[in-house]
Amino acid sequence: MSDADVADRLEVEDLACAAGIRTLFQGIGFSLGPGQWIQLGGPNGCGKSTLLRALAGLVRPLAGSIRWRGEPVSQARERWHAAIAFQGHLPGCKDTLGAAENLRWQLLLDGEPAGPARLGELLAQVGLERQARLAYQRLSAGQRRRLGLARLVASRRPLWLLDEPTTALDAAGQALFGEILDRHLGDGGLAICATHLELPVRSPAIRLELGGRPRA
Amino acid sequence: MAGSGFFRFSSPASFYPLAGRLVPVFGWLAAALTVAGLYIGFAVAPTDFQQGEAYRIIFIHVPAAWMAMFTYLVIAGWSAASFVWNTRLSAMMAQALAPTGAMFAFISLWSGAFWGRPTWGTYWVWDARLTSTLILLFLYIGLMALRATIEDPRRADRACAVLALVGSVNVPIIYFSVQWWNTLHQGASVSLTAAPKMAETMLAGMLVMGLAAWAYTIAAALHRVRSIILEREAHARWTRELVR
Amino acid sequence: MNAGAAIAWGLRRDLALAMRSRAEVAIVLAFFLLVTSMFPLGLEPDPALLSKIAPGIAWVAALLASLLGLPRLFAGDHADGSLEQLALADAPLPALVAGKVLAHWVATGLPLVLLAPLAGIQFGLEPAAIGILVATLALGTPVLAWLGAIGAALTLGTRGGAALLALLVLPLAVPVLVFGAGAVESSRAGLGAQAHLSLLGAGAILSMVFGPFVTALAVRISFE
Repeated sequence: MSDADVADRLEVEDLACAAGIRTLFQGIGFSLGPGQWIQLGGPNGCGKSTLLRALAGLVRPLAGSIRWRGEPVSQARERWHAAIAFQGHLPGCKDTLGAAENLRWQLLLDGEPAGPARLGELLAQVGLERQARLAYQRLSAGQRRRLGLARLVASRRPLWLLDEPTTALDAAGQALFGEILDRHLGDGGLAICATHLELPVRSPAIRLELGGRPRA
Repeated sequence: MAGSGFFRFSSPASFYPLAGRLVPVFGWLAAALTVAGLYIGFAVAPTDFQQGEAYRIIFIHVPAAWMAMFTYLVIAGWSAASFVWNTRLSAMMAQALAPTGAMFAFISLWSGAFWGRPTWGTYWVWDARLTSTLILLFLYIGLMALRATIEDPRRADRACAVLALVGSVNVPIIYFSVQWWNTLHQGASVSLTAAPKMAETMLAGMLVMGLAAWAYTIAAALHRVRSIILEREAHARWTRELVR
Repeated sequence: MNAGAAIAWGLRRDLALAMRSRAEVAIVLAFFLLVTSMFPLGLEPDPALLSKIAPGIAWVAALLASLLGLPRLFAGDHADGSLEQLALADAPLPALVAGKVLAHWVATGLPLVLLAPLAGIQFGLEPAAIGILVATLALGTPVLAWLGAIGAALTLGTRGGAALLALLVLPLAVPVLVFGAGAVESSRAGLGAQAHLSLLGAGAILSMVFGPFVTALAVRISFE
């Protein structure tokens, strides 16, 4: 089976995670194919972030299996990491560096081209062209979130794992996010977004709700 | 290691009652061996013509030092097992052994002071064994401190396992370097390792006390691991049934 | 990214960051000289005594100064989420970590090595002894950097603080201290410092070979 024949598909079965002694959730399973996205909902503390982190491989699940393109993720760590773009609560940017510099280091880490022209283009796409040389710590929360969007725009990775992607974004910013995600899904990408807000995304979401009270 | 027979006990739930049955066995064994060892050490072994009666403290000092060192290696072993087989119980055993190992290191240092005072006139000398045991005590304290500051039990297990393994690789290097340092400065300090010529009974006494310390360590660790199991499995059904 | 590119990434980014926080880096070096200055004040400025104790003091000061610089290594990246991204990158984490530790050594360890002659002069060390001291620091500071990296990674996000880090790292650093300071004494006694330097060199190599993997493991553990 050549690479082209194996579709980008995420299959999760019976996933369970704990935080300390409590079991946060169990029995989570789904199958996600190209062009599909999951809106992960649930009350605060139900484990949305933990689920994303468990999928990314930062946290070990208690039970369950995660398969990407048919392979268990635990056996092909590098291929899995190359396939995902993860944005958690923390921005992953350094305060003392400028906006464009931060983006440049992130793109280099992602293996994407990061020349000055490319950086300028990306920043313009997210409306930050005038903030390119501003120190990251001087950016507002919304501007920081837009910088994160710039990284997504540049990313060629098929699966996006996003934790509360529209926090602090104004209406224009949220619309921008919607466009970026739609474009990604249209190109055959996949996404899982944990959020309790309604996202302005045209493609219909598969909704997954994590249960109410954490079970012991 | 053995197959399914041994691994049957690798779940905390099945190990708990087994540990409970073994604690008194090793406890009584430790008590008996201690009585025997102390008898040999204090009643049977001859008076040393150089150091008089004071030397008898080595029957506590040396076995304690041995046990402190040996326990650290056992902790490293359980830590390695917890990585290889990903078993919670291995990590719990490593956690249970640390305080006892630290205690023996401390006893060794304390008894060394009581040996030093009448023999050389000072409570502390920087000889190789005492210094190495002191550093070993710090390694133990480090392990216990790391365990205490990490809240998530599984993360604490793995972090302490890494520390124990890194430490165990270092322990021979530390002992070697301290030995080297000590021989460099031979003239300047007296040495507690210049032990009296070992009569057979003295050696026997130390060995018996060593075995006593070993049995005690097993009993104490098994007893402690039961508390750890109860604490960490508090949410499971079998512990609730136990309390009922 | 392959390992070489990953090391380069870590090295260049962290050096760029160190350049932005030159003050933070300089403080560590000032601390080193401050500690060495404390000893004559606490003892007596008798030249013979000072010259005798100089290697030990320089080494202890270097140990303490290197401990002081450690939080810079991972804590910042951990707090802003960069460390997470490193763990998820399509590049070997040990290599990324190696780049960071190398940058850390260049920013805090190497200057210490270059400052050591100043400490030597403070204590009236003869030039040959200063030379040996510098050599031992050059070989020993990488070992300290790796021991510190492992300790820093294990204690990420814990409440223990600098004291816990010191408690974990200092006992493991004893051999480095013994052979480092011992080398100078040994060469003064006319026995030559070959053996000490070789042992330190071996330690440096071992720490550079195994350090990245153990540190990467400790970093992954810190996310759980």
